[in-house]
Amino acid sequence: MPPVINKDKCIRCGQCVDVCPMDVFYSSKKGETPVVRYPDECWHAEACALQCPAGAIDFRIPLTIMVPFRKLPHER
Amino acid sequence: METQKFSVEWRDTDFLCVGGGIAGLMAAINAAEQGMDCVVLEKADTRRSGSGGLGNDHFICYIPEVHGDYATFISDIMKLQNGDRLRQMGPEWAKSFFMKTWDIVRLWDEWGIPMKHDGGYYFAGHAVPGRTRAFLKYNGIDQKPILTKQARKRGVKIHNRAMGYELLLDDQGRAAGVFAIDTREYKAYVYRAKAVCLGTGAPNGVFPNANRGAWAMRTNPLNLTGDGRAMAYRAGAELCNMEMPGLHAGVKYFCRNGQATWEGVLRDRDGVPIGPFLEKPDPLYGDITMEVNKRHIESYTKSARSPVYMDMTGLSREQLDLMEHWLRQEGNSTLLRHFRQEGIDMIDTAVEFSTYVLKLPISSGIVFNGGSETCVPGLYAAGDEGYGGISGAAVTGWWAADSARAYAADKSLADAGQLRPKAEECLNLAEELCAREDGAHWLEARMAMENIAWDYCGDLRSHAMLEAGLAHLRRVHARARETLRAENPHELMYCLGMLNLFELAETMFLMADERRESRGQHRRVDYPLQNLMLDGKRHFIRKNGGEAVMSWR
Ligand SMILES: Cc1cc2nc3c(=O)[nH]c(=O)nc-3n(C[C@H](O)[C@H](O)[C@H](O)COP(=O)(O)OP(=O)(O)OC[C@H]3O[C@@H](n4cnc5c(N)ncnc54)[C@H](O)[C@@H]3O)c2cc1C
Ligand code: SF4
Repeated sequence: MPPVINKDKCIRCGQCVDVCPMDVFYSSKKGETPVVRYPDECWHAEACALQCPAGAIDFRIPLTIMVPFRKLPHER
Repeated sequence: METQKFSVEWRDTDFLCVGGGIAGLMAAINAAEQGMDCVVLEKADTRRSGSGGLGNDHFICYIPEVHGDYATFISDIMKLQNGDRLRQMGPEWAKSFFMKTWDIVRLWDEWGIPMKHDGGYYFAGHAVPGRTRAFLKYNGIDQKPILTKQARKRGVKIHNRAMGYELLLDDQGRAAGVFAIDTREYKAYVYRAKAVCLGTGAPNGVFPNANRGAWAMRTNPLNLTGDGRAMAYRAGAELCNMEMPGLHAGVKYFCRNGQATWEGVLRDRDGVPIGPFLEKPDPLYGDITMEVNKRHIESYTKSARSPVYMDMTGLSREQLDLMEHWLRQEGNSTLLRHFRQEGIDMIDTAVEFSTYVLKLPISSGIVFNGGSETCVPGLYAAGDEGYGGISGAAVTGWWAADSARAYAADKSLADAGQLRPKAEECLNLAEELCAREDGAHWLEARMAMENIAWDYCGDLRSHAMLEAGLAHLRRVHARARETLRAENPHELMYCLGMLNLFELAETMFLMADERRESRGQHRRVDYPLQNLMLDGKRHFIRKNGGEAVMSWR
């Protein structure tokens, strides 16, 4: 579930719904907490979080896109 | 079957820009400034849509006072990533393009897109140590809201959440309008226009994503489905080099364009650099290894030598903070959020890189000239439709408006009757896709197409495989047309996008079969040599009376 909306913080302004380029909040309405209808279509670029005036959006990073990392010998 | 009824609205304008990306908005701004009535049709929302939607940070440009002699500048540029595309457009085009970039830099700065860093022009990345640095670092994160505001200020009408699907031609074969669907309501629009500009961006099909399961995590946004190319092709415009796949590399699994923002050195697990260019990070140049050969990472990994890492060790904390700033300017806020969540501090931790899978590159696209004109009268194309990059989109979009204004001056809108039959055909298709009670989801169709593209026209090609693959692709395409099903207007947008991608995949197969040589990422096992006689030539395809016709020039 990419964007995760904190219901307590959300002021239901619908700005994330307006701006999302992928329309993952499709069918959500102003005045209601947005629903992430198409989570798999998220591009993970945070248009919604940038727009949100209430800081109500967080992200759960899907397991499939976790980045592998390592300390190289000179970094240990 | 109960057809889903759409309401239809006819609208008129002088100049219709399909796609409100960088190219479309710049075309609209220039057209409106010159007094044209102008509409931008955008399938998402111009404030955040497209490849530049969440920002970019490299703007290739020529600034005389910084670069000095143009001859040295262009000779260095031709050796790198942009060289092939520039060669395709020709030296005269390249020169007028670069001369125009400087104007755009000043315009954007004036409009509030910060093009300077620390009070000056700062060029870095995509460069060979010691040679010309042509990429201006800029703060692009809010470029789209700013360009949208500039367009509105000049009276441009922005029509968000509407997808252009078909070009409508008048009875003389001129571009005279567009059929579009609303992506949120059961609604269709028929636009009449004196001139049309396509700026729908880079298709991110037709090959499968390397990262299975994360099908939306592609180098470019998922909703870029090559609509402009497919519309142009169906209308008789020329496409070129559709068989020449592109390749990109970047951070592993979190697939995205923007490799040059990373300032570290590519190293193996023992810390040995995999390329010859850098021993320690150099923010001014970046490790150009990937740009010389994007497959190098893949080959390194496949030969089981080691995974390949992007290693920032050697950057000071201040330098690393600045690199993270640029990553944010390029839409990588979530990636940085992920690093924070996982406790990855790049100061002493390297992140893995990989070569991504083949894709249709921006240089495979609509053919347009120095005025951004296609061969269909009244039809223009710009940006990633056929050239690429932020400054590429800004300049070619700007030029499209100049040409369209001159062309439209003595034209009037076509009679509605001339556009109606095609518009009705499209409407029937949309209604049918929404009325089907069961059938294929667009994603099923997409995966089918991607499997076929990869298996028969992937990284090793031959006549026998291409012929068999094309036959199967056509069967699947036909069946998709009969069975695709959209549950709502959002899914309808993707169903129509799929039909467009099928069409582009077919041109790729046809052209790959016709190109009897190996070159770049087009590798024919039955024609392993490069045919030197094709050097400097472009390969074209267009529809003539329903038949695909190919040629070389
Ligand atoms: C992550 C990332 C980083 C990048 N970094 C750089 C960089 O630093 N420097 C650089 O030069 N380039 C960079 N690029 C490439 C650059 O973003 C593109 O070249 C540029 O955005 C192209 O502009 P465009 O207007 O042609 O297409 P886009 O900006 O992609 O715009 C296309 C628009 O058309 C809309 N659209 C699509 N289909 C339809 C339709 N059928 N109907 C209506 N609207 C439609 C889309 O929603 C979108 O708004 C990067 C790309 C990505 C993805
Ligand atoms: S922008 Fe923020 S506050 Fe507004 S609806 Fe979306 S999550 Fe809620």
